[in-house]
Amino acid sequence: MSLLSIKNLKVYYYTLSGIVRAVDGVSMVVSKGEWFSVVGESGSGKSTLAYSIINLVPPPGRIVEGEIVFNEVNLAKAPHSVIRRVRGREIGFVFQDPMTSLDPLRTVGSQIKEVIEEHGGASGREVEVIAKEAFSEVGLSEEKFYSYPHQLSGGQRQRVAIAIATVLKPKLLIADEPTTALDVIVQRSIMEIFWRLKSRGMSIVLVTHDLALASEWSDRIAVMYAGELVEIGPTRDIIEAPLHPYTQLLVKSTPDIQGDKALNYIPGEPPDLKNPPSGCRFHPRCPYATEICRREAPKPTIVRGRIVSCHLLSPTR
Amino acid sequence: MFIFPSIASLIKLPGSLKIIVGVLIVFIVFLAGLLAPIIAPYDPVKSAGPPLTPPSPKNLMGTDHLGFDVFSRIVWGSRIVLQVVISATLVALIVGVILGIVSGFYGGLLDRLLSMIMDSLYAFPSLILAIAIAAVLGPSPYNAAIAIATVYIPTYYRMIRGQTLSIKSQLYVEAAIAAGLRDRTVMLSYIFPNLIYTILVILTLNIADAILTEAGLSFLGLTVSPPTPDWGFDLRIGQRFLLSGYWWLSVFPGLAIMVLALGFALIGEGLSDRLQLRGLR
Repeated sequence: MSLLSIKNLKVYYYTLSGIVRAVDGVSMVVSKGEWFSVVGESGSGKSTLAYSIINLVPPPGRIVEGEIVFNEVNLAKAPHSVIRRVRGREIGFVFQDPMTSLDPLRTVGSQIKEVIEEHGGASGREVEVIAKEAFSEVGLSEEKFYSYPHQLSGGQRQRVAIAIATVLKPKLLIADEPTTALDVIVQRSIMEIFWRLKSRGMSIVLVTHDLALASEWSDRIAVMYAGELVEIGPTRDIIEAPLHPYTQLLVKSTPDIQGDKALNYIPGEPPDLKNPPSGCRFHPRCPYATEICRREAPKPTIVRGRIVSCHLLSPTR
Repeated sequence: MFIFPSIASLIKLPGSLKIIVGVLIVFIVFLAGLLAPIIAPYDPVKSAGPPLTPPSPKNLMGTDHLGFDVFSRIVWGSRIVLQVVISATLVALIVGVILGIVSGFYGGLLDRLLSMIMDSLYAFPSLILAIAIAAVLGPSPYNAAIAIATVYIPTYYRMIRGQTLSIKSQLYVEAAIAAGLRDRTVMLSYIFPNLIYTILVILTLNIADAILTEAGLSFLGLTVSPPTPDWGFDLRIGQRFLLSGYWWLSVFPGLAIMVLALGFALIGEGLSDRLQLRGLR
């Protein structure tokens, strides 16, 4: 059963030096209780995609086209008051940098309590009980409740941020590179928190540049390149038998801790989203590129249970 | 320990001397206004000796052309200045800060409209605009306060709007919005507390400026009617006798205006010295 369904989403930034097509025709579906990861390199538009789900694209960016249907409501067109109530209560959001995502002037406890009160989640004594419960869920001791952000470590702050995002038991948790600023040990414990939340029926959308991390935890992976999703499929299939040339190169360039395989890299650099390449956006870097790749943009097609956008795999060829 | 540093370490911070001297001056003037009936040796509107007596132990700052004691008039006059200036700056502060936060937070058409209005107000020299408004409303301390408040709203608006824009782009504000907090809550409990320091600096610097504007208005007779003691007005009366050698009539009210303005300006300067240090760290 689908919880979130995005159709042909286009999010552009209207800068003075041109239109940046950060998200350009993305379609994806996230099911209930599923862990869905969006993997892509820096500047591929994955964060913009995450922000656009809760309508938080910073100006000069805006959603140009497409649908974001969550719980049968199209968030792309919903009024501000509706989106405000969806944020925090239905969809939790965890940001990349826990150092700056908490207000330095107030105790973390007062910040989480405020979220509960604003959504009418509880009143009086109950608020504190719920807030402290959320703290223990993410493995924070009760005394941290009265701390200011500067008194906490990066990992603790990210736990606070997760507690705030999930205190109202949202159906969906979006995490934008939640562990990029943290070390691997903390990273693992944060992922374990997500895993616990998922096992209780929460859907997770993890946005990351780390394919290894995504492959370890997610049910399905979407690979994003230059504002488009080039391949979506079950994690195991994507890692073991990638279909899209970009995914193949990405998998090959992921270091293996045991293996002695040589580490590959993808030649060239990511395209300028103000002026993306014609046809398939990956063709300048693609080892298999042919004439049609330069001329025509490939359409997403279903190949062996996956959605892939590549002329090489297109059945019409 | 983090919140209450020791007094000794506070004094070492930059700007401390300015702040201490400034606070002292302002405190003394406040006290004078508050305790005027006790401090002033004479009734400010009753003859306290022969007219135009030079300063002496009996009349510390001499007497004016009607024989009123200049020192007592200055002590009593502080009440008018403080009342007009403080009520005016408070009104300007409240209106300017609210409009600035709302404008910076929402942006869009409202922001452009407000910015346009504020910029056009700001384009006038403040004293001239205050005189024009006070002249239209008629002479009274109340109207003078309205005139001064109107003139200074753009000062607060512009600073607060700019600060709001920069605080708004901080991740914790975005996180608060992402958590579904109401706009009002985001402005009140996430943006406003981060503005307090700025507001304090503008407030004190602005009061210093407002004192001069108030003095200008009363110099032109736009705040009180004689014989109410008032620094600006007394300065103007004394001006007529200045060339005849009766300097004490103008010099002492003028000094009082200058010293009070200096007091507030010192506090503002000291605070902004400290703010800059925070920025450098």
